[in-house]
Amino acid sequence: MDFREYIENNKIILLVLPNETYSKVIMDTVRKLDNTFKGIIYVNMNNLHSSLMKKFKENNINENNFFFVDVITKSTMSDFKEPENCISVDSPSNLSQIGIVISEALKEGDFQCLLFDSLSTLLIYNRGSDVTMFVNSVISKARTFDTIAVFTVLKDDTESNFIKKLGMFVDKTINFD
Amino acid sequence: MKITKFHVDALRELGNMAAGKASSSLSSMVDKKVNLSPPAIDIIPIKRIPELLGGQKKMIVGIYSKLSGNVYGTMMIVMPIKSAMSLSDIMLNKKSGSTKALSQKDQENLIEIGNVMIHNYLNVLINFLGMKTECEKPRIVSTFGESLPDFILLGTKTKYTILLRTDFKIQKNVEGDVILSIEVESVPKFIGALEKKLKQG
Repeated sequence: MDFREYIENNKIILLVLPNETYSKVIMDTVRKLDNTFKGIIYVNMNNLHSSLMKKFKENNINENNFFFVDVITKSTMSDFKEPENCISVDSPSNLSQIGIVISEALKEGDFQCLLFDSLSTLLIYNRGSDVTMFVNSVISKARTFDTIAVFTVLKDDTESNFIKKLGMFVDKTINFD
Repeated sequence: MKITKFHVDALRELGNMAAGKASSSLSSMVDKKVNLSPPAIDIIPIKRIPELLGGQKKMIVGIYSKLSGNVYGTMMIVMPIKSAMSLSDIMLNKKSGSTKALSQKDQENLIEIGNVMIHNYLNVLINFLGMKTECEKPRIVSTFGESLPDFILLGTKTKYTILLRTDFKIQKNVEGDVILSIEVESVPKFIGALEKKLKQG
């Protein structure tokens, strides 16, 4: 089964990534998604936008195939000017705003895939139960718009109960070793 | 300007005093003993910062402030997320392990801790060297440890930096780093002030 077929058969996927290889695996995944789908929403919670673009370049990923929901850069650089394919959210604790921005993007754009990187960052600022509800709502939206959704969590920084709970809502949990 | 072993040793000692003052302020805030490691000092091209500071493959919380005036650079207090949560427990007198997520109040407390530590650290440098240095209001960021250098290097245009780093530990639950990165353009002023002070005895 090839990557596209595998992803399309599962639709909503949770990637449990080991801390040791997180940076590499996430870029490998982004590159595969870029090569497979047209129009990807990337919810970026861990990298300054400029650093992420540098990584995209190094990994031959086409940034123009992405729409970025940036939840980190504005809080660090108040003078950050978003490029056309990017919208900022003030804080990772503002789940409602993140949800609204994702909804609007799904409604207005033609996106085949959504990548949420990562839920572990959301869990720093929000209770597990709130994040679970939030993820459920994003999953519903993704199903409504027939968009593939890929969520990531860091294995060592995420409680195993949370991962188990999420496992009940997604179509497939993939553990990277 | 040539930086000699003598300069490096003097900077290390100064870093030690500054970190001691910062940890003492932290100790007062949490009413617990804070243990410090001897400071590490590196004078390195900034492209090596990721290699030196980006090793933490875990989620971290950083409280950082950009410096300006006679010295340009960044000061940062960095902790693994579990340590940040334990520090919040200690600050609010909560049972160990109670904090599961950093609320707005927790974040404000951590920023305040960072603020006090950064100011105390810098005051030692400023008073000892007689330099004018201002720091902007600290910000808090959480990210994967490997992205940390991006925040330290934010807005940096120089090729070299002096990096002073001290580990701190409170009991078994809280550990972190106090990091001072000084941009190379500031180094002659910094070393000049240091030499002047040392000559004065």
